[in-house]
Amino acid sequence: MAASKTAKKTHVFLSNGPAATLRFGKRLGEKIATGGVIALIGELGCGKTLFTRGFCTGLGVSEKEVTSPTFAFVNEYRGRLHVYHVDLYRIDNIEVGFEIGMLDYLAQAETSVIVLEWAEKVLPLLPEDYLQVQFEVLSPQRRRLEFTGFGERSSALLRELEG
Amino acid sequence: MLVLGLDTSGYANAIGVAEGERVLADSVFETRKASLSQIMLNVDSVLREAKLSLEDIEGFGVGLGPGSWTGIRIGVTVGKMLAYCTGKSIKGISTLEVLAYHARDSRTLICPIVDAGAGGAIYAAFYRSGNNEINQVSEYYVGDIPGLAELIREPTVLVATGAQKYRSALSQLMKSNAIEALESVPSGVSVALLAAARLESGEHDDTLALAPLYLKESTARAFVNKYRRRVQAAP
Repeated sequence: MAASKTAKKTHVFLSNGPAATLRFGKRLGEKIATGGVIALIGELGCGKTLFTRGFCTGLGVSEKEVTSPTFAFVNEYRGRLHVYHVDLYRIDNIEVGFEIGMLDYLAQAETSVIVLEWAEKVLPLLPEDYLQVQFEVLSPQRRRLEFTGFGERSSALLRELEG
Repeated sequence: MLVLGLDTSGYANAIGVAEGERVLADSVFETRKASLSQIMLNVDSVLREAKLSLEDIEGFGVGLGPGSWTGIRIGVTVGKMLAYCTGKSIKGISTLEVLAYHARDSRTLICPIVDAGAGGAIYAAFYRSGNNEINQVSEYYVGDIPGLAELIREPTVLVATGAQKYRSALSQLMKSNAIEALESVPSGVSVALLAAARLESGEHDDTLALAPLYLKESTARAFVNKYRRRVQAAP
């Protein structure tokens, strides 16, 4: 693999509470122009679903429509872009990822946005280009969000987010 | 024997009817996302075109994949439902064999390829044609094009949607011009013809137990290997 194809860009954002996490997700939703994969990584209660709710709101989805798909695996929302909100909490390994048809969803990343909670469980399935958001709990209120853009498209999106 | 064949492993509903070796109808309906809502209407229109009704059908054939995860489930489930409701028998056929069948006149090695749906992963297998039969001569392969190149040692015809693209990639990697390409999509009538031959010789599947051909473990392995190479190559 050529080094240019694994272009990487990192950006850190500190959230002082749920409202800020929600707002930051919303900004990403407003900026994103094409489909892609957003991989959310972090422990229970770190703000992944909240961030996703903000993100979808930024795409024009009504806030109360966005709920955690822990039991349904996948929720679909129709915003400015089509969003597949996938929760892999109940997935033990990659093989189970195939059971729920992960590849069929990922194959739609050209035109739709695939938001994956607990994405670390299926990292090998992700395309070359994806945006990773790693959540770290600093205190009951505060969170550290580290954004990494893998590939050209996600790095460009991250640059826009910083600007 | 009058057999209806279905394959939905790609992004289309492929439906055909054959009687023994005779083709009575063959259609491919591009459906993409509406496969499930269209398939019964598609079956109905193919039967009408052949001036047949469902009661005339004596057996069913279904393409088992590999291919689109959701896609395959639709065809397999509908095939099983039709067989169960009409009390007729069913036979599942690998979608790779269906593609290989389209190159049955070839004297060289036959290699059907199906896109695994993300990041350049493919499914493939090798077949040989002879004595009016197609025989699978390898295990199923899941991996990428460079990995497939290492398995090819003789003139081979690739059968796939996008066969030309695979041919140029393989020819380049192998520095060889012994690779041919046949553009092809799974067809319903090929499923019907292959299933008819087997059903006529008394071979059939358990209608309720028949399941799609998901190469789950090897697909997982292929993706994990690919990921390792990617991580090692990263700066």
